[in-house]
Amino acid sequence: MTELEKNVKCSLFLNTLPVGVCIIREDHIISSWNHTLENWTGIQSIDAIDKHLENVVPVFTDRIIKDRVNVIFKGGGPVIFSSRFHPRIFPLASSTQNEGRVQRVSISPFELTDGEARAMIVVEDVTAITDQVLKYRQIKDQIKHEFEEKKKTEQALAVAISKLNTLGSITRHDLNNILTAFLGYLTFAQNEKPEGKIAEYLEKMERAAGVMRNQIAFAKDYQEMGNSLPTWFRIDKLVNSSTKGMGFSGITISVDTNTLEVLADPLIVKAMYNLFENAVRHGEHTTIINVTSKKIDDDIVKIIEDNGKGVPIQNKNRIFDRGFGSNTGLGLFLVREILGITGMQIIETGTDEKGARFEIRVPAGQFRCPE
Amino acid sequence: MNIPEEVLDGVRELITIGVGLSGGMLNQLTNAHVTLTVPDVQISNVASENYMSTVLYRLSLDNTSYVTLKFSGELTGSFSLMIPYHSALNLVVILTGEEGSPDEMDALRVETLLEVGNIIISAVMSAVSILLTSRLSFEFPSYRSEKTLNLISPLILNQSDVGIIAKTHFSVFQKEFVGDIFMLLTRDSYQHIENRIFSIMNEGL
Repeated sequence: MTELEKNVKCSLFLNTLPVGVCIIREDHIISSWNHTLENWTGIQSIDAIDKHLENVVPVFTDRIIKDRVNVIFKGGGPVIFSSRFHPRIFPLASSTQNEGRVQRVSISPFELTDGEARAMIVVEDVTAITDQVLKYRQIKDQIKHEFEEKKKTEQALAVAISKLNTLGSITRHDLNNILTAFLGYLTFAQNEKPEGKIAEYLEKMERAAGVMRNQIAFAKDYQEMGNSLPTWFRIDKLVNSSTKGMGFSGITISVDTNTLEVLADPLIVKAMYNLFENAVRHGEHTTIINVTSKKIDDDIVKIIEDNGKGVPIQNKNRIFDRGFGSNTGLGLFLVREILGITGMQIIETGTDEKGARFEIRVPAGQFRCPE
Repeated sequence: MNIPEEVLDGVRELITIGVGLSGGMLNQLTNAHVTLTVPDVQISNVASENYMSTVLYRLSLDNTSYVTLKFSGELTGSFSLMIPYHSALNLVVILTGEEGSPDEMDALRVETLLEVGNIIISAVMSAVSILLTSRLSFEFPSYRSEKTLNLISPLILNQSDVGIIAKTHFSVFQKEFVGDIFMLLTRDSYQHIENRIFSIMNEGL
C-alpha cells in the first residue's frame, strides 16, 4: 500500500467518527482534519491541511495551550483540556452556535512507522453531559437545602410537641386533683341526704364529673398516639396478651393468622384489648371470638368476629365517631385513630343479633409473614 | 534495595523540575497562586516487607483519588498522582473557584482533576524523558477513586517492580493539600534510569 493510499484509508476512517479529529505533525502542521470538525467549525479539510494549527485554530497561539502541546512532543504523554478551564478550543462555524456549547479536547502522541511523531487532537462535544451534571448539582443542592430545612422544622416541632405534652400532662394532673376534691365534696353533700331538686342536681353533677374524668382519660390516650415509632407485632401473640385478663373467662378465643405480623403504633395493644373487651361487654352473650386473616389484592384483611349480639344496624355508621358509646375504655374512635397511624383501616361488617365482625385492612408493606 | 545516592538525587531533581514546570502551568491556567513542592522522594522495591503499608500508609486509610498514566517502551510502568478524595475535591473546588462546599466528585470535577493531574504528570514525564533515547507509548490518562492498596495492586506488573514515591505539597490561596506522585517501574526500567543517570553524570547529556 502506498503512502497516499494509506492516507486516504486513514482519512476515510477518521471521517466515520462522531468526534472531531485533527492530526498534527511535530511542527504543528495539520495533516488530517475529519468531517465532524468540518461540520462543527465550518473549516473544510482542504483549508486546514498543510496549514499551521495556530493559523487555523487561533486558541493554540495562547501560551498556556502552546506550552502543553509542546510537552506532548517532548515525551510528556497525552494532554487533556477540560471543559471547565477551556470551554471551547475549536470555535463553531457561527457565533450563535457557540452559545452554551462546551468541548473536551485531548491530544495523544503517536509515532508512524517511519518514526515520525504525530499528535491526534480529539474534540468531543460534552454540552449534554455538562448540562446534566449542572442540573444534578442544582437538584442535589435543593434537596440538601430542603433536608436541612426539614430537619430544623422537625427539631422545632419536637420541642413544641414536648412542651404541649408537658402542658397537657400538668393540666390533666391539676384537673384530676380538682375533680377528686369536687367529687369528695359531692359525696359529702350526697351524704347529707338531700331531697327533691337538690338531690337531682347533685346526681347530674356526679354524672357530669364522670364525663369530665373520661374526657381527661381520652385526652391522655390521644396524646400518647404516634409518640413512639411503629414496631412489628405478631397477631397471635397480640391476641393472647390482650385476652389474658379475668374478663375473658368462659370465652373461646381462636387465632388463625399463622406468623402474620403488622407494623403498628405500640398503642395497638390497647386497641386490640378494646375490641375484645367490646365483644364481651356489648355482645352480652358472646362465647366465641375468632381472629383470622385473608389476602385481598396486595393487602391483608384481619378479621375479628364474635357470636354476640352484634352491632345494631342504626349504629353501624356511628360506632367509630368520637363520643359514641358508653365512654368506657378507649372507644372505637381511638381504635380507628391508632390503626390509622400505620395506614390500617377498620370497618364493621357483622350482622345485627348474630355477632360483630371487625375487618382491619392492612396495606402492603405494613405486614409480613416471617418463615 | 540499595539505591545509590546519585540516583536518588537525579530522580528527585527530575521530579522537582517537572513539578515546578507544572506549577507554573497551573498558575497560568487557574489564575491562582499555586505552589508545588516535593520535599521527599523514596525509591523502593514494591516486594519489600510492608512496602504498601508503610510507604503508602497515609493514603491507605480513606478513599484516594488518582490520575494514572501508563506507558511502555524504553520505560514500562505507570505514573499516578494520588490525593486523598476529600483533598482532591477541595483542590478542584478552589482551583475552579466554585462556591459552596460540594461533597462529591462528579463528572465535571473528575474531568477537571484529570486535567490538573495530567499537567503534573506530563510535566514530570517530560522531564524524565531527557533520560530516554526513544519515544514511549502512552495509554490515555484515567481517573479512579478507591482505597490506595486496591488502586496500586493492579498496577504492579511484577514483584520485582520498583516504586518511586514523591510526597507533593500543593499550596493554593494559602491552603495546603498533600498528595503523592507515584511512579511504578519494572525492574529493567528502573535499572535503565539508574544506568542513564550514571552515564549522563560521566558523559553529559
